[in-house]
Amino acid sequence: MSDEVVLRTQDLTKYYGGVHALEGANFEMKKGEHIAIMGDNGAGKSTFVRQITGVEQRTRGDVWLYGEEVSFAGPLDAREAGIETVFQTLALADDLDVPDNLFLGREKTFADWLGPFRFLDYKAMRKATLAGLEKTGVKIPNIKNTIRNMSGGQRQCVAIARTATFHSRLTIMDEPTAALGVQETAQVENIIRTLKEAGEPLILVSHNMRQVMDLVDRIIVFRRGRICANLRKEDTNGEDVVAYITGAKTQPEYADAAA
Amino acid sequence: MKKTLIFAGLASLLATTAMAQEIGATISRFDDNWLTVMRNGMTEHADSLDGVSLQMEDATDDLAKQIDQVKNFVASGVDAIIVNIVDTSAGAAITEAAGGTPLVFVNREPDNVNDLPPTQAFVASNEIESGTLSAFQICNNLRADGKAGGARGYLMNGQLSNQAAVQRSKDVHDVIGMDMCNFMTIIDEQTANWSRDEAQDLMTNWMSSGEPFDFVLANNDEMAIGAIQAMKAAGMDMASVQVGGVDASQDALLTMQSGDYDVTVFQDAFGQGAGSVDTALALVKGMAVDQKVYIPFVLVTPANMGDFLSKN
Amino acid sequence: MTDTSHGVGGLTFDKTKRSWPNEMNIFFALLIIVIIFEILGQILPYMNGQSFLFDTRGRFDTIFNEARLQIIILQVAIIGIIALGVTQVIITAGIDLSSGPLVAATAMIAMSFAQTELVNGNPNPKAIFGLWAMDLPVIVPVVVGLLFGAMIGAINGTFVAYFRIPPFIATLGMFLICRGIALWWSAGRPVSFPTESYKFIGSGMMPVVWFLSLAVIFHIILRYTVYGKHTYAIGSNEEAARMSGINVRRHKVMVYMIASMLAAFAGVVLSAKASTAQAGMGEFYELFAIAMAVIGGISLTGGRGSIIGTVLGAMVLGVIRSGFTFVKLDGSYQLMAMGGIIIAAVILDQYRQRNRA
Repeated sequence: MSDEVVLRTQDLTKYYGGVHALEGANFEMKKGEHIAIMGDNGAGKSTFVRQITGVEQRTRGDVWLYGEEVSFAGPLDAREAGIETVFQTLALADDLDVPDNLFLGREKTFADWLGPFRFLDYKAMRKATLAGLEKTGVKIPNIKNTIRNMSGGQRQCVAIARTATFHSRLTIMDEPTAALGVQETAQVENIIRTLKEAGEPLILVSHNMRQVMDLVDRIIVFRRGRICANLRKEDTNGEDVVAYITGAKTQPEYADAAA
Repeated sequence: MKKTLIFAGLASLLATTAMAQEIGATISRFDDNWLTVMRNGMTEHADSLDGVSLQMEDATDDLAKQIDQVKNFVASGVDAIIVNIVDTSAGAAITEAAGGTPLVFVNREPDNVNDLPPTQAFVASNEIESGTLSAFQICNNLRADGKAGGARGYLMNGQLSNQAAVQRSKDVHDVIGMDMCNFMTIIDEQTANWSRDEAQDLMTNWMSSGEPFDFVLANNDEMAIGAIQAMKAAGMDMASVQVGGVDASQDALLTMQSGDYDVTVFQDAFGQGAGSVDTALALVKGMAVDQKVYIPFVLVTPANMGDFLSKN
Repeated sequence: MTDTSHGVGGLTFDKTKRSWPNEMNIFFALLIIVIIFEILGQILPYMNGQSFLFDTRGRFDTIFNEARLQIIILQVAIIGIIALGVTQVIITAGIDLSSGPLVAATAMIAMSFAQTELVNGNPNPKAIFGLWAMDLPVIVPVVVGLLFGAMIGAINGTFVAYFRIPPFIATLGMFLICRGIALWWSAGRPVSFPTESYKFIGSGMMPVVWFLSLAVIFHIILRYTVYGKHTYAIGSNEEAARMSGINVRRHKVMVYMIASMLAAFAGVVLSAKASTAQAGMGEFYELFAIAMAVIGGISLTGGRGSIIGTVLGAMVLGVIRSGFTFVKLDGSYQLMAMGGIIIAAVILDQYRQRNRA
């Protein structure tokens, strides 16, 4: 684990009208770290993710990505800056195949002068897809199969493989296994381990305590819009984290969250 | 013609009345060529008379809509109603919807034409004449061409929900049933829905079977023109085929001028339109009128087509 | 049929065999219908052993009755052009009901700029505009027609994409508006007598040439270009497409514009073929175009469909029309048969979908 700071936020805040969904979040993440964000429903986890991925515009605060201050006008900007997000809803088109989905919106093309009618470079996309799948350890016998024919776990793996294909600088996963069965969850977790081995930074939003304890280095707990704990996995256990989530405990640095 | 004089007399009489007459008219469809000419005839004639205002409605081939239009006219208190009925078997419904308001049926003969109340009348041409004139002339032409030994041909129907189409086709069969013309045989009869391009495709389909034929009869000019276009595209010599239709539209007459079209029948659209307006006004005045007025069809061939070039 | 492959960490995947493309099924259905008519031609007593497909009278060089093959595709070529556009709209999970009246309105407008000054040596009795609009180079009416189509399509697309009006409603409204325009344009009078160069556009087998050329072009576009891929993506999962950075709204407007321009071109070809433009033209064309796409295996919920399927669907309708005329069966049976086939096509497709999953 290096000392390079991948992501830092200072006083990140989001109000929806009178609702203070996110208040003064100070967050820091180093390269190679896998961090879990936990908290009850409405605690601010998803709001935090939405602000840093450019899906919404923050009310207040600053964000630095790899030392550069950033302000994303939309999710595309975030993607271009190297932030890849795997949403719970996957964002995959059922009737398209694996390379199509991986490259959706950023297709490899030639004859670009034709504008919207420029030709797709299927060969290049196929090649890059296979490389990306290999990198994440996802094995799909026939990538020309449409996504519809794959199970939930396989689809999730495809969505994750997207991050590897595009050399992301930061991967964010929002409840990636929430809708999956046991075996498929295992598949996805294996891929996450592969990413860890490759030194890719990951922010994992999850409700699954066992998963979190298995996979990550640090746990950030949100409560009522504020960060109330920043724990190293070694220093804590499941019960402890739950206590932070429910508010029974608060780390002294984040005392104002207890209010 | 006697009836024309009567109309002229009535028209001049009515034109001098100072009171404004409101007439509501509902036409079965606005996008039919012949009906458009009739409609324009009504409008122009009404405009030429003082104090007559004419309101035109499109029934878009929808009988229920037409009945509602008639009721609306009655409700807004028009002096008379003119109806170009969508479905000729619904005469009674229209008659009832009009109540006591004077009403004239134009061009399409409702099935209750013989039982109309004294406040209602009918102005049209007799479809028995149209198909008969056309088919009979074709029969004569075929004889003149030396085909009295046997001639085969096709018949194109209009929309079969139209009494005109049904009657005109029946006329063709009746003519062929006559001793004089029974050398003619119909190979096939199908509908092309009054439409030129449908007729083109239908004719091409028929020709693809390779059967030789001597004549093509159609319920209207548009379909006859479509058939002619198809035959010409296939390289047929139009002198070897007799083609007959009904309407004497401008397009048809010009086609006749180029020598491709043999027979059509003039239906006085303008005359029917104007006549219906006059009859309506007469009913309003409470005058005694003929309840059934037939304006005659006229046979049109290359010999007399010049007379009709400006009419439709 | 599962084939487990072990990757890192014991991952297993199902391997689905490469499936039989749906278009083959439609092609076989087409063959079966042709064979049925061929048999009917032999067994029905009044038919005197005529052949539907083969040249029994020795009129042509090949064994086939070329005239019949030609009319089969000629009579559906114009609606086929519309169907190419409707296919794309349906793939985006939309629908376009305005094509029929758009054909009529475009025909009227384009024809008005295609008129010839003299008919049989006399002034054109059907002249809409003055002499300045007579005998114009053929490019003028064609461009005018296409621009009109583009405008209508842009309006359709804007209502669907930006105002979020359901496509059914938006294009239904446009259906009525275009019908009104067609009727209003020349107060119901037909517009006739175009120049020879305009007539050429619709002469002989030209409608088929246009149809097949456009089919090839759009097949390539849908399958091999970014526009095509995005069209399928939007129909398959609009949210995913949006999140992938595709400008979904702008794309939809483009799709509706292309569809309307194709319908407008169909109007030009139709009026050129018939040498006239009438307000009542194009009746039911939008429904037949949709039928062609449906028989071709398109999914009305979007994301699936192909140009090849639509072309085959057009051929099926063409065979039915010619077949029924061949056996001299009344037109009403034809309509019933077409309706039956459309329903059967959808049922078969659903059955196939269920068996695949």
